[in-house]
Amino acid sequence: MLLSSHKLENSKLRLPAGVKDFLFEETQQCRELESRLMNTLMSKGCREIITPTFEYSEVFSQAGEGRNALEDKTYRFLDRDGNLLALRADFTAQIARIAASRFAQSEMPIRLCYSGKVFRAEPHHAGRSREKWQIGFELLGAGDIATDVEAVNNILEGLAALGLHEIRVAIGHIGYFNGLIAEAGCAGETLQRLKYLIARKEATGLREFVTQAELAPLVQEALLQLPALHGGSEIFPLARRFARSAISHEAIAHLEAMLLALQTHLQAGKIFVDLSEVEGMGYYTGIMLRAFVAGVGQEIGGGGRYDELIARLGADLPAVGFYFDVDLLVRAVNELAR
Amino acid sequence: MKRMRNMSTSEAQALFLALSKGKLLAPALEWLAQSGYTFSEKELAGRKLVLTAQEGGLHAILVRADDVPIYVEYGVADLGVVGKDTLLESEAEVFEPLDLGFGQCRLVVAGKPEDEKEDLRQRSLVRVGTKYPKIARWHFDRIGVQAEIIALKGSVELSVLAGLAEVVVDIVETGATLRENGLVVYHEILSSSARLIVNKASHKLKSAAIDALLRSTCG
Repeated sequence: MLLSSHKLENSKLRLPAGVKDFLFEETQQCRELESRLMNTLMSKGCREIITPTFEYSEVFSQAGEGRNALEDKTYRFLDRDGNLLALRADFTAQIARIAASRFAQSEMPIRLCYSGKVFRAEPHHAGRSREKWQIGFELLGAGDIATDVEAVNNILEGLAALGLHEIRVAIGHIGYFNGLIAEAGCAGETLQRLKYLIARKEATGLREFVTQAELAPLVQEALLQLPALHGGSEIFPLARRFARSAISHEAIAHLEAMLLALQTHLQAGKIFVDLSEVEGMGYYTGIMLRAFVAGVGQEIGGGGRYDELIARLGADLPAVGFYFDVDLLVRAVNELAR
Repeated sequence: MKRMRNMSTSEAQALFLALSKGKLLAPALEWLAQSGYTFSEKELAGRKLVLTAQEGGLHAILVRADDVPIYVEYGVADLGVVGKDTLLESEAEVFEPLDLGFGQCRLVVAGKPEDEKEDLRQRSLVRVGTKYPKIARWHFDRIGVQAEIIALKGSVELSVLAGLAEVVVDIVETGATLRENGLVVYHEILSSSARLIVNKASHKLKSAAIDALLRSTCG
């Protein structure tokens, strides 16, 4: 009962926003889901690893860009020697470090999976959590189409193992966009702004942007079309018409080959190409993946190809990976059961 | 509200559209009619908060304007019609593929006419009364004005008249309200109009139905 003498002071029992306790049934449900998903990934050849909960902050500084930059979202602290450390903000960045230092001489490809928490200082908004439980996999040392197809199949099989069938995996390719703007000389904040407008499909802002930026008419037209370039193989002819650089054409050819290999899933409506998916972790160099499940209003996982991240750390290994958000998967499973 | 899985296959692609009960409702209904969705007079006159289009395939959820972006971001509604001003203030992560053109207004900084010429940057602190605290904060940070943002729910003009704030950040359509209260526009922050917003998951999962609606509007 709230007495008139009460003021809204902080309770000793409070919990910071964005973290939560898992009680008995929820814990059991999460563990069951975890074991199903991990078993599926392991049946696909992935071996589990465990990464440290914190490490040197610089490991995470490569991850993300623009609005998604992890730089501003990392929890940092000093150890007793004055070294700057950070809580795990991203598994992929850690795995890139591990790959560069330990796997450079190994036999490829290496398939690995993980399950654990990442910590990000998200704004207190729309129920975004600051501690996220992620389960994911990375396929290291192979840059071919078959490996990208394998990644998509892993996602589909993982979701199927959880009984989730009303799903859609959106595939984009950052190469298409990079090719379009190769001649436009966009960089820095301007590029981030452009990517944001396209990814948000913000028609009005995008039109203002391309007009002000004085881009070549064909580039303007291509960028304005981008938010509508999604669907199945039927979008490729139009996408090709706007593509003038080899990079864009290669991206389309790559996606076309993937769709061919994923034909059955495409026909079942589980695959969706979206060329306007241009925002993500800054380290993506090829396909970008997002998965959606009916009943959950946001992506339940994401990933993509990052062929340069490990190379920047010293070992030239192409790689593709994907994470599932455990909280959202639980929500999807519960929605289905309701 | 009926859930997707309880519906037949064709109904699974039925769209839920969040509409605000305020001044955007009439033009939004007109836009829907042009896109092939109408609502019976009886439903509109009643007190129901979820309406079903006579043609089927679309349900309208009537909520407060500020709540439209929230309903869409969470995916309770697939789509929403909302002013750009409200959308920016909400910081909702949604797609906004269409400018519907109606509901035009300007978001401005206004105050007493006698202070109009004064450079706000020279003041140590400017008190700002507004219903748009996030946009106001962003704007004054951007132009280098130290501002104390006072978030209000009711008539903002009063805050200057009563001496609570020195300037306001508010929406202006015709400027009549400002004039009546003896205030003038100092400068514009942005111009706004109604946007069609789309939930990120719905955009993928119900792409056929959503693209059809977008196409019918773009002609």
